Amino acid sequence: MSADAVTRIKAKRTSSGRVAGGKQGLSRGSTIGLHVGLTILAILCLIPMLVVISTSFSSESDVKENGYPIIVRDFSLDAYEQLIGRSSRTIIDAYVDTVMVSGVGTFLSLFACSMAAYVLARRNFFLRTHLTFFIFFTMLFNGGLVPTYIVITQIYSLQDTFWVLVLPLVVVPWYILILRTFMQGISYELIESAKIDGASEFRIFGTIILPLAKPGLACIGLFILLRYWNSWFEAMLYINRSDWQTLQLMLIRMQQRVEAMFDENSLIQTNLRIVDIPSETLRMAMVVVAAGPMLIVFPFFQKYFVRGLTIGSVKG
Amino acid sequence: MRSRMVIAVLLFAMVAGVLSAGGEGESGDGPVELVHYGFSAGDVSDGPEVFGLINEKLGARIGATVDYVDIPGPEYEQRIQVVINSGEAYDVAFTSHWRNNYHVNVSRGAFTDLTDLLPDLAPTIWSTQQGYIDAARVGGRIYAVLNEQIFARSRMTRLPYEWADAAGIVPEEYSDRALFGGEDLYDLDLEMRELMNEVMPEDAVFDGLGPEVAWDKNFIVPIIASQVPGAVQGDVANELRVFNQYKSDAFLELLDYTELLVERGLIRNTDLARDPEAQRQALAAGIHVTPVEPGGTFKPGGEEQGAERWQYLYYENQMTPATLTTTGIIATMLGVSSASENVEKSLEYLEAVFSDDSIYMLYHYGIEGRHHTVDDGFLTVVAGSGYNRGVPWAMGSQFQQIPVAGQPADVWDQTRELNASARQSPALGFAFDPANVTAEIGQTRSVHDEFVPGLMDGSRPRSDYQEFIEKMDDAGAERIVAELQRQIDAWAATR
Amino acid sequence: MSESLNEYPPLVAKRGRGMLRRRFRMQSELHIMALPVVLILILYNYIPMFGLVIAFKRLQVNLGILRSPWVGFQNFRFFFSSPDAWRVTRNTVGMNFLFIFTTNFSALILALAMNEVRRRGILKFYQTIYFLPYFLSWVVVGFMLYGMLNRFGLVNAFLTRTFGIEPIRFYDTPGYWPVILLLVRIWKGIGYASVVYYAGLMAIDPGFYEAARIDGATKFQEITKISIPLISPIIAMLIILAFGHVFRGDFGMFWHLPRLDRNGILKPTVDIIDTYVYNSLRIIGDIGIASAVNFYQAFVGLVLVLTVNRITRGISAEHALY
Repeated sequence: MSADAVTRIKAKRTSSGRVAGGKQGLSRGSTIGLHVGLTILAILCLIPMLVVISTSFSSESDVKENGYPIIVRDFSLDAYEQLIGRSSRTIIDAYVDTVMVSGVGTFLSLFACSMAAYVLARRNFFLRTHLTFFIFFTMLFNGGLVPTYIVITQIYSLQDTFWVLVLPLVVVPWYILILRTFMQGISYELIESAKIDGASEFRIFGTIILPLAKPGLACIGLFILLRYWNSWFEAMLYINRSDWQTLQLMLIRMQQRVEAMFDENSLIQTNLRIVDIPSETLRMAMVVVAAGPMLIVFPFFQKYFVRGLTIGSVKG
Repeated sequence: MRSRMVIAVLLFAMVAGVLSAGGEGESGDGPVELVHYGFSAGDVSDGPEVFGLINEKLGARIGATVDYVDIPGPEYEQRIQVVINSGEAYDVAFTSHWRNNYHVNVSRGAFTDLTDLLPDLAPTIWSTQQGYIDAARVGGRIYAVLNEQIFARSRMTRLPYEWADAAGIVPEEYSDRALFGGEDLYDLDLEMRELMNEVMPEDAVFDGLGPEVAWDKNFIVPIIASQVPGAVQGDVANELRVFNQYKSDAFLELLDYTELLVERGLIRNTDLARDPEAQRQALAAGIHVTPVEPGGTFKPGGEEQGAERWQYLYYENQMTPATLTTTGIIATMLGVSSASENVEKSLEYLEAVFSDDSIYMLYHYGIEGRHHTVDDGFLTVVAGSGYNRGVPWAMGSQFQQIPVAGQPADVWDQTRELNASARQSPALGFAFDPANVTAEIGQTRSVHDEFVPGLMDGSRPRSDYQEFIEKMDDAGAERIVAELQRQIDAWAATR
Repeated sequence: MSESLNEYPPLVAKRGRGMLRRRFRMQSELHIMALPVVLILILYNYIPMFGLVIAFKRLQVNLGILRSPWVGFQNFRFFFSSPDAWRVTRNTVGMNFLFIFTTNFSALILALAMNEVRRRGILKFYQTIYFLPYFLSWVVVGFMLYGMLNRFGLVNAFLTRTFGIEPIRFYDTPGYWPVILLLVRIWKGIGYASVVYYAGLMAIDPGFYEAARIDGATKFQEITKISIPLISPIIAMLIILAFGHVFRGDFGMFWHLPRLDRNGILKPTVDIIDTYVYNSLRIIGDIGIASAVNFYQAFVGLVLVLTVNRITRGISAEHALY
């Protein structure tokens, strides 16, 4: 990037500090080509999901005989009845629990990780390399399932609590490091000038870094949310006697229970014929039920993927 | 500087770990509460109520109650392993050779030695399980009690009734010819296949046989598992000679026979039933043919149960003599944790379940009148009522169960008879300590999984057998055999 | 780039012990900000790390982890003495390398492409759709793949009708699977991965593009001289971190797609360290062995990351991990 180009940018800034213009457009041919490519990919991604949705609204026997439908052939709500039906209280409970876990967890996690990322991004932080290694090391090395279990149940006594579903997932080194990379791109001059004005690190973090790192925060925030929403392992392992559970866990167990009906070793009596027990369709309905809310939440995060926010506070 | 920090943190971690080494001991006043980790396969939502009733009875009888932790079946293995390895102080858990492996647990010191306590604290269990409970001995000591059910394993035929009738097959005849007529099992299998082939549609699934068929046919008993080399053979001069069953003539005979069947199209469409779901589908549609079924085992009353499940009747008839093996007997057991603080009470609890049929029925089928009904001495489950544990073999003696409607009234007598009259494996009662060959066991099993299913269903050519054997040897097959021989000889010497 | 956090000189001199206390105090706020993460890592990651010793012990449950006997490297023997060790390592590492580069490359291309879409509405639409495969579990994908690739599935139907050849038995032929796995992997992960790159592109000051336009740069130059260099720190970070996991495979994918527990024929190309260990330990579940393999995977990963990082640092310090 030539130095005079940079000067020219600064010269072009309007008095309000906003930068005019942006990237240049594509030629017409390229635009068509671009959209064709993007559309093909979109079809490849969309069709399987349509199959999932259609299958979930089909009857099990139709799926067994004719394979997966792209558009519903034999409409049936059997799978959803199985999911919601008798255990309607459980699925709502699971939803509530998962929303709570995800909400609290995402907030805590994003907060903690972004703060840590900011600290790591500060090149003059004298413990920088140590802290980076401290955090990064845990990405690779783990004491193992049993020692973690011992520590969580015998020392912290977190089993059967809400927090066991949240706390172990709060720190994700990968996310911290990505956020750090995003924050490193922010001009230090801004921070410097704020410090000169007497601002504390917290203030700088809140008023300068966070707004400027919005795309990165939105991206990682989304990832964190998805992680909590889809989590099930902690609930499986640590909840024995209380009611806490996550949606994904409940769905997995439901599927297992259905499969158990097929197991020769068990003697479950059921009124349905074996072929009619929703199994394929149930599996698909589970995907819809779990993924649905996330897809609705998606656009909320997309809102923050906005292009280069103002850094016009630096003059000259 | 960085390394110093890392070391400091790790040291801190170690210290904390040391301090945590001793688990928390729960000492409370009042009636003893036993922690029992169990599993279910069905609906147990009315569990709290049912266990309330169970605990009333237990409280009255032994002055203790049970805190039953219900874990979904598929999760059980992983979770109980974590619980055990973490040294948690629970009391009772399920164990067997296939879920929460008994021998591995014993070699890890996970279970309490019950040998001396059983006669006094669990007299019912002790007396009814005589003769069989020796299969659970490790180093002469007993670490778990058996859940009685069908112990003796045998191969059976499973034919869809519609097609079998159309083909003019009377399965009982074949069963008689196999067991008493002295005819070769494969000849009979071939005959049945050819007859079925004349009537069945092209897309029917004709399943292959499995190694288990060859073992049963020749009274070969794998000691560790069917998939792992190391077996002995009964009714021969030296019954305690250990060999690699996959090198045996019996297996070669099976390979030759399989090759023949594949050529004639009498094994086909197995790729459509490799997936358990597809297999169930084929079963329900009545197009799954296994003249001699490698999996499963023949049990009295099994046919009726199958009909209930698949909504399709399959003839199930015994085709090989029943064999009592260690794994057949220890297929379902209950052990008391070595970390338990209530060993005696735990045994009293087990005794209570085994001797009081009402506790057994509550435990598995819930409250009479609500979750199940009993008419004329037969059991009918009320579907969707909120309690049907689904694994009546997992706790207590299945002989305590009221026969399910559709089963013969004397189903348990028949089962006991089958158990008692079965031929016994030469290695019955021998417990293998896998410590020295753990690696080889894992590796040979892996080799087995890579080759044998393909060899058995026609997707691999017979010529792959050579490669299979070589790989097995590379993986340490002969080392396992040698180790087994060494231990078996030592065991035999002490008898 | 000269205006970034990267080049600011240190706040205080680095020598002297009085300086140490001063530095601590001056940066105390930063310390506080880092505290939540540090605390949680200590509680949930570092304290349990005493369990790493399990890899070197034979766990006796009644003695507990710390009093159980040491067995040196015996647990490692399982994996290294295995005739398949080389094969599964090769599969794991090979596939991972393939995945790292192709998924990152394709995600990058996609992000750049999405960056060119003018209308936000369409863009959001695309982006949401690309994310859909992420929501399908490997189990579900496995079933759908089976529906497509089995003897009577879509792919074979198409092949027999168009080319008149015999149906291909995909599930009996190991050779096809690296490609199959690669394609499925890209399809499933591209939406998710492209979000990171896209966010990075969003963070680029539009002024740079302005200046480039003034300078008369072409679209191609715009991408190669601005977009890519400015998100290269993210690309570098993702790749360096990915190296840490090169010896760990995605168990779910490798287990459910080739249906590994059903037929062993595909093992030569799809068996990875994780599935191999899982399978082998199913009878004799030995926590010491599992722990040893885990340790091996982590250790090699660490060495790789440090090496790659050092190389990266040599090229350009600001792109490195530290």
